[in-house]
Amino acid sequence: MSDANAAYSRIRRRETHASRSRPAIVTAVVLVLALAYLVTEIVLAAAGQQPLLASPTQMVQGLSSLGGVPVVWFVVGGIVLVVLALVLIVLAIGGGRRSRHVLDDDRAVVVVDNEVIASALVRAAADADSVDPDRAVAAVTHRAATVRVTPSSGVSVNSDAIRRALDERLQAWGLKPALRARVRIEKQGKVGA
Amino acid sequence: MNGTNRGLNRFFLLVVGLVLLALGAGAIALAALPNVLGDWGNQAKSVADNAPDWVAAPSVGQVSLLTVLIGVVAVVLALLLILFIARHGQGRTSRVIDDRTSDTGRTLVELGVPKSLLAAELDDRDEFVSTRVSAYDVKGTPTLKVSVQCRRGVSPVEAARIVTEALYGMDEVLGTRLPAMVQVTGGFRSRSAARARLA
Repeated sequence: MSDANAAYSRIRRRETHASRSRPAIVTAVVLVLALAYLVTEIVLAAAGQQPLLASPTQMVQGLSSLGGVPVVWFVVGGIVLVVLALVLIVLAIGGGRRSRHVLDDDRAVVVVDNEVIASALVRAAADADSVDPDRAVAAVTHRAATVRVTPSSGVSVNSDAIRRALDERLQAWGLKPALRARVRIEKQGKVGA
Repeated sequence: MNGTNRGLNRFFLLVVGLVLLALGAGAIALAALPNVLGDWGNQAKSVADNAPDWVAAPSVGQVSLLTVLIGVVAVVLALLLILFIARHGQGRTSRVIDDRTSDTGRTLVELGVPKSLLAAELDDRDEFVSTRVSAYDVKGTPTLKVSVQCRRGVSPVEAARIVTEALYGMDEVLGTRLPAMVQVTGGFRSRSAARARLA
């Protein structure tokens, strides 16, 4: 069973963290296009044809005569490159947690999108204090679930009852990592049922 | 679930990021320190004037040997990158059981079997908008992936219970326990679909 346990914890980890496939593929495609352009220019120059933009010789001349370019362009270009670089480095070493939670289960690894948890909490809140589910919105993050209720004008909403109902649900579900419930009642009600 | 090499993804992003950081910092340094820019110009000029034959002299058309070498390296690099892109998302399998332990022969079970067993249980549940069953090879172990898209307001635990019950039923039929992953999702269709009436 330890083999299956290892496989399950591997799946659990991989399903709750981003694979970084998309940024890696996009970066690779951009690099391939740049290299393809470079090779095209080299082949055109070797064949004695007109360059698309600049022949290899012109590129090198451009690099060696940088002194003629206004300083502003260095700053702008440098800042763009540095920002791009920081984005990639953060992607490379960042945590990459996905908005999902794990449910305890004996049979299978169960991962639940935060969206589903939010929608179920809206229903729980609605059932607890007979609020219209369309008047409640839930936001679920890694450790907290916040339900916002917009009361009908003139009707008071029992936020304690809602919080108790939410806590009870969350306790029973046993999500990992655990969620803390918060209830916000909007000051401004809305007219209508 | 798939076999994508995530460490490699991160390493690749880090390397490209560091190269871009060096280029960007270099460009800013050229602008910020005027004598650096001047030095750059002088250096470039002297390098260009004293370039050896294999760098400067055209050998193929108007292209020097160095340029040809750069072109070859670029082609190799591009091919490696294409290979890197193509290796993403592998690991799907269509065979969930391959048992050679018996004396009388080998037992193969294709993905279609768990698929139809689970579909029979899950397809007419009101809680789900759609269900999808696939299988991946996780470090040599075929593992089922069951994705269910819930309707609005369905409790995730209830959804998981329905699916695991179907899995236990499947185990019963197959006579063995297939490793499985259950993914519970919501999504646009479930949001726009009417709230299900549940008894």
